[in-house]
Amino acid sequence: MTTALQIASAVNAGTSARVAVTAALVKAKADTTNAIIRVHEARALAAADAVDARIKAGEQLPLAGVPIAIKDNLNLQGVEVTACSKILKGYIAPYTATAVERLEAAGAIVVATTNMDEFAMGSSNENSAYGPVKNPVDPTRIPGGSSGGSAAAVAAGIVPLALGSDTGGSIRQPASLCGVVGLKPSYGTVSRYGLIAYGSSLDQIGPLSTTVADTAVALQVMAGKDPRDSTSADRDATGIGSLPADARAALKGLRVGYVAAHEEGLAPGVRARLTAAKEALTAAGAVLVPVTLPHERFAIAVYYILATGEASSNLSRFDGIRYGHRTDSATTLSEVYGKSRVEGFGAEVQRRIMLGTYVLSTGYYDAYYKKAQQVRRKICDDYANAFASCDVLLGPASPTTAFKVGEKTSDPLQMYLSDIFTIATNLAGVPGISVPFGTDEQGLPVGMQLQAPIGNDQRLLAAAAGIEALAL
Amino acid sequence: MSEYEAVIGLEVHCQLATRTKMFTGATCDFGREPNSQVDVVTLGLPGALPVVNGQAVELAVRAALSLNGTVAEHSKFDRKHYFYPDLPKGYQISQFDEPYCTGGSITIELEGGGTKVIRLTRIHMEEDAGKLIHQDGGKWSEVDLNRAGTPLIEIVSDPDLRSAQEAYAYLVELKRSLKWVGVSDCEMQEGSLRCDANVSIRPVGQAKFGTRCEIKNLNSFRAVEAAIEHEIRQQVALHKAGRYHEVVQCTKLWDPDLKTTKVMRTKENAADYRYFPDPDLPALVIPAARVEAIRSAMPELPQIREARFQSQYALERAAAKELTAESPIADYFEALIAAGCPAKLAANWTREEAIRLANDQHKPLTVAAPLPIMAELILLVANNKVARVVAKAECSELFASGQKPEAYFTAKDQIQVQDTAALAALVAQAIAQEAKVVEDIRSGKLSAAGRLVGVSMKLSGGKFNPNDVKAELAKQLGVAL
Repeated sequence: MTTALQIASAVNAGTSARVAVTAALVKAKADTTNAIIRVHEARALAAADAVDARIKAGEQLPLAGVPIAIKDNLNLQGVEVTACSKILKGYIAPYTATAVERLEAAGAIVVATTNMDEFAMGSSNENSAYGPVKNPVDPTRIPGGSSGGSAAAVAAGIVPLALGSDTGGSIRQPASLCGVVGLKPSYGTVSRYGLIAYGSSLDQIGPLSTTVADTAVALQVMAGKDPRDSTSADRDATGIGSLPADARAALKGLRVGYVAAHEEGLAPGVRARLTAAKEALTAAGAVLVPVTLPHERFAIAVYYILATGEASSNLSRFDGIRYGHRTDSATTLSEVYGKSRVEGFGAEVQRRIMLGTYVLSTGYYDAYYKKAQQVRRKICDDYANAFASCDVLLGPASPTTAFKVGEKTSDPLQMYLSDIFTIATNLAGVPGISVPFGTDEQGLPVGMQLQAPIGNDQRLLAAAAGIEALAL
Repeated sequence: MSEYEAVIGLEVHCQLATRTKMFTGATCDFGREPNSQVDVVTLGLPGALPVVNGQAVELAVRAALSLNGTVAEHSKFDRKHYFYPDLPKGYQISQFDEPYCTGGSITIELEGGGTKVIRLTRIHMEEDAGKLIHQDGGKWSEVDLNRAGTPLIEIVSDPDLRSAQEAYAYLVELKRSLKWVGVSDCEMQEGSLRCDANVSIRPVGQAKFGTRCEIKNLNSFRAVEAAIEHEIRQQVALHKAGRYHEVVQCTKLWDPDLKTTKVMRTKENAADYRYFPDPDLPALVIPAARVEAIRSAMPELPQIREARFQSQYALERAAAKELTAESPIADYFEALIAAGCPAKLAANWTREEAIRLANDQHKPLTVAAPLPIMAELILLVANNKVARVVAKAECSELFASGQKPEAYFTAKDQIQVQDTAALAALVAQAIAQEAKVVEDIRSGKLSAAGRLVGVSMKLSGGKFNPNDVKAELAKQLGVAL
């Protein structure tokens, strides 16, 4: 498949942006995985012409004419955006998210919106008002979630680059299960302005692509302070996406930390690939360093308190008053709220709102939310201690490869455990990336996760490019 | 009442006079077309994020400093949740357990003389909600979000107030301070100042507080006073009747027409606001250096200026207070002094004429009574060139004419003259005219002399100084006046 950088290079050299965009539109319309829920043909073609005009006028754009797909929780002006929830059906965004705006300014063209778990709550893309997404590698299996549509769209070759959002693994886990690259940047690297919030202190927008180089260029374009997001970091983003000329050679001397406990409970195929990755890294001259993250075992518990608490608050605005679904059968104001929300939100979203409402309630706040915040700080400290002796952390992105559609839908706790390796990353705010590293015995993709200290996205990408080179 | 004591605390919401909203760039002008002052943040659209308005923080700090509060270097914003159509996000951004300002005080004057210090518990920043306009007898409602997101500070007093009159005095003093430093226009009618009162009673000598009721919907200082008096009367009556248990902790609404309250909600059905730190906003850091910079850019505070006016210009307390009711008045007064006017005269003319002209015309002092004209007028009086009574009588017409005072009075032939021969003749004429009055004076009724001075002045067309007239009268009549 053609990469984003290859397309941009051709368009910058004079090939019409319409070529790649039209091809992507055709594939998006022919999608059989349900990854694509909306195609923006007219808008994309007009944007392609605008990019052509800019190139003709002498501009060179890092993502010239690159067709991209965006997750349905990113605002795009004039386009329906629903977070795959019935409650937002028909809602047209009046503005564009900063991350998307920056990609478009760099020449990228949004051709489609991708499926997702409703409000980014899920690990299998089965919680969508638009129905589940099939994994392009095996249509009987889930693609992971919540950015399942974006991962599947890239894996199916519809687009070379897609945007997802990651609150507890929602980019990295589906990337791992679909066999693509998926990056969750450091908290604050990419503006959240225009991202429909799930857990505000955890959410980050990130790219999914077939190569680390494509992800790096997308991050370079999106990164940097946004005055409209108070939590976007003041860090200098210059060179954040620059990769070493020889990524494999750059692994020499890199101190790669790993947590021995991560090997327990891994699916055998995943475990075999983790061992292979460690061996390949050693052979390439990297130094493996055992580290511990003593509080990581609380990560899932902490996450489901903090994320649901924030979500219960963030989703209060969906009240049926100003936009979105409003019930037909209310006779009182209280019923407008209750019925609109019960009719509009899916089961998992309602479950998390109730959980979040509970943990923030007077009398329970200290025992749950406050305590979870304290443990979160311990997890941050663990990472700081671990990174004192290593440059990056290596581990699995998911304990298993892609599971069957319907396999875990009846057991939320089992589903929550699919994010066991990705959640602590968000709690600590550090960057994490999943890079394809072969397949299991059934031929299903396995992703290796790398993590780096907060603000060291460039270091993470460089190491990821090294792993990518080793996987070839 | 004497065996009971009221315990009152006030919560005052004050709209900060910013150009834009607390967390977004939408403007917050009053009285505009409904839903014209809104943007994606105000509407709580999906994906919109708040950004703190630096001007709001600056004004909030000014307010804190003007009320002697301590500004915290670190504070945070929290979300307060409830569902209502005028609250777009389903939560209000406020400050819960770490307000930006703690402490502070307001000194009020007591009716019987003396002063009392009312302590402040805290001041915090928050955003306002929108408004519902109920239609068709409450069958349906329209939502106007123009006000939603407007920056507010909430000033919470300790329960230090003991009467409705003290509460009134507290509000007057609070408004003086906040207006003075430019924090807010403090117009209760426009909702830029709102007050809730917490009222309880207890028998004198009892240390424990009684059960308090919170009264809302108070839309003027007089309403605050009336509602508190009403509530105190009601609670005292219940206590005297042995039915104090009927006083339950609740929120009441004041009805300004019926002059009574009705219960809105009781404690049992109080909402759980589920406060938690807003993850969209980092901790609010106000470095000490910024606080000092704001402090040093603040004008001299009204209480300090009031005291200075008394000591520096030997003014009575009442005069000093009136001249420091608002900073433009104080500035006007001191500008007259800078122009060479004697303090007493400057104070009198500001209080008696300039303020009256400004109020009559609904214009600023310096427009209704331009400083150069007022200063010249006062100096004419001070230098005995125009009689005070004449100046007073002509004042409105003079300012309306826009003429320079000396030219104005010259044209009217009202400039006083120093011609002693003419004065003697004039006084002699007055004595001749008013034989009866002269007889009274000679028989010891010295107070009748005022009448003779008046007649003389009238005969002169106001051209002589009344003191000179009086002296000449004394001389000609051979009495000491």
